[in-house]
Amino acid sequence: MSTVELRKVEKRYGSVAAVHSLDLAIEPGEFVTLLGPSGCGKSTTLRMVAGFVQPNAGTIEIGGKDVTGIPPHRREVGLVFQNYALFPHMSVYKNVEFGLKMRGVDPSERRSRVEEALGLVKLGDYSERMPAQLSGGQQQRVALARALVIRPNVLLLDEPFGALDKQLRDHMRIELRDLQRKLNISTMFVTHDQDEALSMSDRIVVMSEGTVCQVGGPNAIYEKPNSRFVADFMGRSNLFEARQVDESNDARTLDAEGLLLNADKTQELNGGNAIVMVRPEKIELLESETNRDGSVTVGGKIMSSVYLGSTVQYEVKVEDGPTVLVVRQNVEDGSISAQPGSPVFLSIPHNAVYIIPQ
Amino acid sequence: MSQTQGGNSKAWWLLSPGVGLYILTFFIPLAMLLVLSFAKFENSVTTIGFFFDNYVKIMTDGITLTIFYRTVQLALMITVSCLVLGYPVAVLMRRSGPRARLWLLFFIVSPLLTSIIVRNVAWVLILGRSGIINDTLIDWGWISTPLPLMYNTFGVVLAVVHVYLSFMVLPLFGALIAIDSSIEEAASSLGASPLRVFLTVTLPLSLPGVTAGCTLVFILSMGIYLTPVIMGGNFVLTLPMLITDSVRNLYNWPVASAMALMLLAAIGAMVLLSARVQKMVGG
Repeated sequence: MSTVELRKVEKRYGSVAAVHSLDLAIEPGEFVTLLGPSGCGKSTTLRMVAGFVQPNAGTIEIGGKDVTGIPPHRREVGLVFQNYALFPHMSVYKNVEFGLKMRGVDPSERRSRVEEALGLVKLGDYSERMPAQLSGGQQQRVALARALVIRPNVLLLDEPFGALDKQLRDHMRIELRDLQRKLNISTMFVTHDQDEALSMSDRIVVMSEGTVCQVGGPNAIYEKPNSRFVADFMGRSNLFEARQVDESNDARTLDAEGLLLNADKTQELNGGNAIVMVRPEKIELLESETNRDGSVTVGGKIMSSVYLGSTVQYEVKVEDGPTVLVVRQNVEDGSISAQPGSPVFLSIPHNAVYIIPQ
Repeated sequence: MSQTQGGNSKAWWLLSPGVGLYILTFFIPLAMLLVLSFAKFENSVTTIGFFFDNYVKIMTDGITLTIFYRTVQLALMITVSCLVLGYPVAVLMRRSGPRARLWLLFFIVSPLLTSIIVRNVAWVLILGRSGIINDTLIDWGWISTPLPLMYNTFGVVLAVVHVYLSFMVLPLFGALIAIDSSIEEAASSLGASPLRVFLTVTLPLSLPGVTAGCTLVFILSMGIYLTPVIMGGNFVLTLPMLITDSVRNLYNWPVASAMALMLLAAIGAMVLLSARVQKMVGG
């Protein structure tokens, strides 16, 4: 039995569908991320599960119980907001205790459970502080403890790290994921940050304009996007319109806007035309023309290079072909002269060429 | 930053017109009031000095203290009525869209745009013995004698609340709109019913608005004069009426000054009280 199950859920504002016929199930202990640009319906979906937004059609089940139409305070969900939403007039202790009080848990059990929850988020010594006396990261941990202490069926996280700076965000990511695994709590996580989605999720649901584009593990979503939108949204990619020009036993030769590529034949090609994706970090930059098995090598000219610290990003114009984005790890000692205008060769392996299913 | 934080002392002169006006119209009269309240008034002659006669008189003549209590009572009734009536309006304004909010604001503030005389005469036409309400009810045969809708405390409170409601609603609305609605949603998702969300989150967080509105309305209500004259007839007496009487009919400025300072003391007490409530809630 799934912890959360949405069936044909629909939410319209006037004639605009914010969420369109959405089916989604979260299994016990699973970490599912709703990912998409703003306005894609991911937050509306989360708010429907929390009960703040009523769907126009469809049903929502939590813990096997139909909760469609049930108000938020009787849904047993733990909610964490981007802006923490702590009660500013209550101490950390009172904040965490709130949900237990509302449930009529007796005082001695309340105390032990609050202390346990604060211990989980490593804030045991902060119980008498007021929220305003805590840093952003600490406040968000209190919010997490407050949501977890009621032992909800599902933890709902609405861009919880959006207000934190990058270092803290990366740290909180790991901490949250560890905690989620330890407690084995089903989690619905909403974000527009693909790095967050890739690094934390068991499953990612990519959404756009109120519909689900693709559901899958981080690896599948990144390596095998099912549409141009997903490929584009998940990190940087080279996307070319291509048509088949030749075919052998195990490979297809594709003309990608003037760039000839070989793709494994296991990939279906519906009709003659397709969109192919090549991730920029899978392309190798060479100083001289070197032919390698299973790769094509083409010449080009560096148009620009952007130094990003751990990586360097190049734009390479292929002779009589497209401009290709290449990202290299910054491990070389300057063996490639990265000056714009200098000639280079691109080596593109067969298995880096991915045909997006139409 | 340092420039705006007081580093630029040249900008101080910009304050001088305001400060000058304040000294001229507030501090000097207040000082005069204080001096006069200790003066002696005998046989229509005022002698400046340090006498307690006026204070002894207002404390012991029986009538001044009674009217003072009634004034405080009336002001409290007006304040509580404004709070009870104004809170739901402020909540409604917070939940409304920008257009509806503007209309509500207009309705609440509109009494302020009318002259006080016009407003009170209008109330007489509505609430009087042969006003619209009494006439209609008698016509319909629901009552045989007119209801006492004015020339009593009810009429005065109603007419004052009508105007002062805006001074309650605006600070309340300001406090409510500042509450992040996700805080209420958090309470709700933690199992609080709408009523408990209100009692545990919304109400405590709106207390700055409650104290501000109550202080404002109370201060204003302690000074009402014209409305009790028109709406209360001679049945509702307030301290400002007594002060006016002392000055205009008895030419007794010293005792009027003492009464005015008594009024000021009551207002000061209210301000201190609200500051205390504020501090208590603020933690």
